[in-house]
Amino acid sequence: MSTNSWTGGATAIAMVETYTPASVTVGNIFTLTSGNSTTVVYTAAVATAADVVTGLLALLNSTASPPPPEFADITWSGTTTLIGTAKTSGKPFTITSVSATGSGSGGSSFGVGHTVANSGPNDVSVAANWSLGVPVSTQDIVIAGTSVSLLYNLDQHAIVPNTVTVAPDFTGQIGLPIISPSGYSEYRKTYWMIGGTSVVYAGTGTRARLDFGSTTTTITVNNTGSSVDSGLETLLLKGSALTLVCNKGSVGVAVQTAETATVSSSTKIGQSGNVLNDSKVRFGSGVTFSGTLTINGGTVETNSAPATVKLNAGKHTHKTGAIGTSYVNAGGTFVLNATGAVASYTGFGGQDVIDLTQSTVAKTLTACTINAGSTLKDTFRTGVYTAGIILNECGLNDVTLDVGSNVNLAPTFI
Amino acid sequence: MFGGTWGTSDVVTITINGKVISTTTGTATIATFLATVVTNLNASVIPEFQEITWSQSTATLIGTADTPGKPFTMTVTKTSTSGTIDGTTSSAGTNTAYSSPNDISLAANWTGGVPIATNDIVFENSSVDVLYGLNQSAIAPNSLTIEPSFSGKFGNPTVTSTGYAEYRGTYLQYACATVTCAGTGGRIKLDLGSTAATITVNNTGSPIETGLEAMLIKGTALTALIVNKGSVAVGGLDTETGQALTTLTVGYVTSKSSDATVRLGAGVSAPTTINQFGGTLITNQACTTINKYGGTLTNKVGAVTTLKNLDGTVFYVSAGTCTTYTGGPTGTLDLSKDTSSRTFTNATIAKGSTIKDPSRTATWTNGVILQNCGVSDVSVNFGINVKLTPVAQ
Repeated sequence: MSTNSWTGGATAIAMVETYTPASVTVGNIFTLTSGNSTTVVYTAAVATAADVVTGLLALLNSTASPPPPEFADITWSGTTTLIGTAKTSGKPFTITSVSATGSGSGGSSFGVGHTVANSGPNDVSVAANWSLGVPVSTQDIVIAGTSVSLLYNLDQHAIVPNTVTVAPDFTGQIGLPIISPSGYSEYRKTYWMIGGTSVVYAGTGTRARLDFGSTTTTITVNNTGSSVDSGLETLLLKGSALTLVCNKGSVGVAVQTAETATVSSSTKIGQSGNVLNDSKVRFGSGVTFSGTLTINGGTVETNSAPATVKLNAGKHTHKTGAIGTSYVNAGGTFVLNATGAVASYTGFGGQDVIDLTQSTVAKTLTACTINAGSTLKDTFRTGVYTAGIILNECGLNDVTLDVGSNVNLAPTFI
Repeated sequence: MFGGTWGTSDVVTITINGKVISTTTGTATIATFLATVVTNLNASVIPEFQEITWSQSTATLIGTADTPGKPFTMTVTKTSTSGTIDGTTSSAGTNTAYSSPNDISLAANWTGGVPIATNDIVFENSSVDVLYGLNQSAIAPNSLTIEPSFSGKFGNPTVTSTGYAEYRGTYLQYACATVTCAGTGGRIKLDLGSTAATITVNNTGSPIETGLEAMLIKGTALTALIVNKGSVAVGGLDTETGQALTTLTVGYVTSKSSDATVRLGAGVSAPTTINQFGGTLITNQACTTINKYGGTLTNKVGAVTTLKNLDGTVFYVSAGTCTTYTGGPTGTLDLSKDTSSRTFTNATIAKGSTIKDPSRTATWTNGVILQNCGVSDVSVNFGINVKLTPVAQ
């Protein structure tokens, strides 16, 4: 197997597209459509290509009534042929053209010409950006020793490399935000779509978005940079057969609207020395847990329910869904904000905390057992303890129990 | 005085306190067999007989108390059908009158003669014990007051110093409805019979009998007992059944914890109300209402309908059900002194309250309500392996 390294060495070349009106009659409609489906439309007033180009240029370059922002990424020119040149070299765009008869005669056209293809150091589809050319399956892909980001033409889902390694000395970004700097919803791929198999991520860039599709992938995250996107984690992941092992870093799994992912029972969130702060991982509402979620450290948020959770250290905030099988807390803080029932909660080890105070919704703990040293915080009495709270081999003096005031403890013996 | 005709097989029996010494005459000569009787009596090791010096004057048997002022009671019986004692053929015994400063039935011991109904009886400025002639139950004085200046004792122990069960009477008996005691004697035994009496105890001496309180009270219809200071028991002896007290108040004068020590024996029926402000109280029966504002209460036997423990400790040793328990800010309910199972039907405790049940003896039928407070505000020990089912109130 060969190692194919990201170099980002391609020269930035501005993409140029041409759009040529032909067989124009008065009343024909000429439409430019962005990759985001926004449009600029001109109806021919004179039966010439020049009239169409002039009319479109007036619309595209208008400051009084600017076109949709997708068109603002492009410098527009031309006389009888409309020329679109990317304002940023190396940043591709998608503008398609079409004509319609309208109130004119049939036979008009509005063809597009790919005059200059996009190329640049941020385009993963450009061979010059890789040591061995565009990656192919079975290669070991390495992204290291550079700050050049991977931003464009990110759909390489058909490629299933042997491994993907993002090294600590990679400080660039992978992927795009869902809102472009120009203010429109990004129509270019925002995730690098790559079949992963085995991925190790330790890059220190401020944004990385990886979509492993349906490829069975294990990603080990040893570090990330700080996120440049407010409210989002640095490394965002998607995949329908994903195993995440996070030792340190800021990771979100299917955290954006309508995103989905399925994570395996081998998923483990850990730490590298700083129990609470090394890993910050959020699982979005579109995540399906296929088994047990194990947390050995870090700060973890779930918005859908694993059947089983093992919390050995760190902090876990569960916001949505029923934990149908069991929750075993051997030494972390479990913040339960979800209304879904926890079928069986067990706290032990002396450092375990279950905190029901962070939301006022009712939470059901069908079975709840705590041991000496355990802490249960339910100051506002939002907990419904269907089968009570069992003090296993210990008494009230051995635990920290806050079930609010004006409460009937109803003690019985087991 | 023996007389008549005696046979040689006749038997003369002297009985004191149910104990007998019998002598077979062996001769028809009275003086002769009477000498044998005297010899046998003086030789006896029975303590009741040893308190008496026995002698004869021809045909007369003479018993003289060794302790002047201490009475004794004996009977002389015979099997002879023709011999007589004091002129009768049945049985007989004539007591020579005695006198004693300890005999309450003697007019000479009173300023106004032997008390009668409606008198106000006062004991003061004396240390002379009241030991004999104690059954004055037919007299219903207006009041009976024992002043602090009286340090004498009332009554006798149930077992004498020489080891026999006292037969002379151990309680002073009056049918008195109002009793006030501040005497400093170490034994004050008072039997009020069936009188609806109110007793106020402001002081007693220290108990002189191990295991007993200084003041022992009996009564089958006592209305109220108020103990502000002193050592008091009602029905304090195991044999004292059928006692009744409606309301008990235990307070204090200066020392909240130690001024009063009170015990209700097992023979006392269930009081309606107990108000405890201090001291130490032991109960051995059920009670309708206990309002506890201080001190230490040990409930050994019986159910309690309402127990408010606002301050101090309740040692609930009883297996009886407590229907409603309320624990105040400085109230402690301690169930740790034995492992008997008991039931608390309703229990409510306030901030600062304590429950100790490490051996899991209690069944909390309707739970334990933390009133306006949480677990961290109280000290609760339900033992280990406990299931809590918190329910908002």
